[in-house]
Amino acid sequence: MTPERFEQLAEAYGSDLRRWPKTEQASAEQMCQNSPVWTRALLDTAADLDEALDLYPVEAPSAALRERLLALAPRPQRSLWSRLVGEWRGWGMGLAAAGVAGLMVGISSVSLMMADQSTDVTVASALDGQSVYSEAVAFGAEEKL
Amino acid sequence: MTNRPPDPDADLVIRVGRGDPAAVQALMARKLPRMLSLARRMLGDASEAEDVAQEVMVRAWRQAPTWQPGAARFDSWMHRVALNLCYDRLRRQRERPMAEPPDQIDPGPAPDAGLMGMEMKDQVEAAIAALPERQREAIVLCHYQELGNIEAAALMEISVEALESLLSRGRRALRMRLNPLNYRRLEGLA
Repeated sequence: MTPERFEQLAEAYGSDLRRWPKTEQASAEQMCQNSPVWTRALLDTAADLDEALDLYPVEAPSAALRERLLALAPRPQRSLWSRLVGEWRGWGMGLAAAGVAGLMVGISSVSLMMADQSTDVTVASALDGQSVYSEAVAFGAEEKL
Repeated sequence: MTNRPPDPDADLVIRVGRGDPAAVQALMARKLPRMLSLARRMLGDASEAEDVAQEVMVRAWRQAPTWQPGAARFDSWMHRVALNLCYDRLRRQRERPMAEPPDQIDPGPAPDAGLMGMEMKDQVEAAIAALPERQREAIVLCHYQELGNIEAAALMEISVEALESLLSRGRRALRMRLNPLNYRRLEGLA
């Protein structure tokens, strides 16, 4: 490494050799050992700016921002088994619901059929009664005559 | 077979993709301050920086389930997203019409001209905000985000030599803008 290159790197990357290109760190350290005075002067100058830059603080993320992000983060995935169980449970619930619905429809149909039959009987009786009444009225009329 | 070191975030990202709540917390603790710091120093505005950091994290949540380790480091990918969002905002700021466009160049002091009376941290903030965008990006990536030169150059899509040139010019400009009293020794050397 030449002194010019050392100066370029100090100008670009600052005083901390760990920020310098990895491929040049060892030779830069060697140069610091061999020429401590002028290398130290260059690094001290760079360190002044590094320290000034470090005075620029950034606010920590707000609690509201963290909460918003947590609400949007991926949710835990269920395992294949629990998903299958969940699906079968869903199917089972569906089948059970369908069965209950079918039963209800069946019961209602039977009730309706029975209600229809009793209505038929009542209507028939009523009609029978009416015909009896008609016949009675007709018979009475005949008697009066 | 590549010599690229393993991505230190790879395991965490995979766990985030599975919805592991502890991994979500850990990745947010590791990356959110970093993205906020990048955006804050690129944009110079706390509220806009928070919007950018939030957007980057939301995209990270979406990306995690399908993330393929080995293609690129997750941290580099997040930086790329954050820088794109920052540049979108900087472009919009430039294109935003002014309410009352000035008829002539303002003869008053430049934005960083009053640095002498400010606290040092405010001086630094103003001096960084006054840098050309590419110089600011180079200094933010290398000094504040502590990225290596190869990674920073790749993110900026420039050569390492071009990165070093931007860094040198940026640092020189900062020294000139910051309180000259602190840099008298430097001027003596130059």
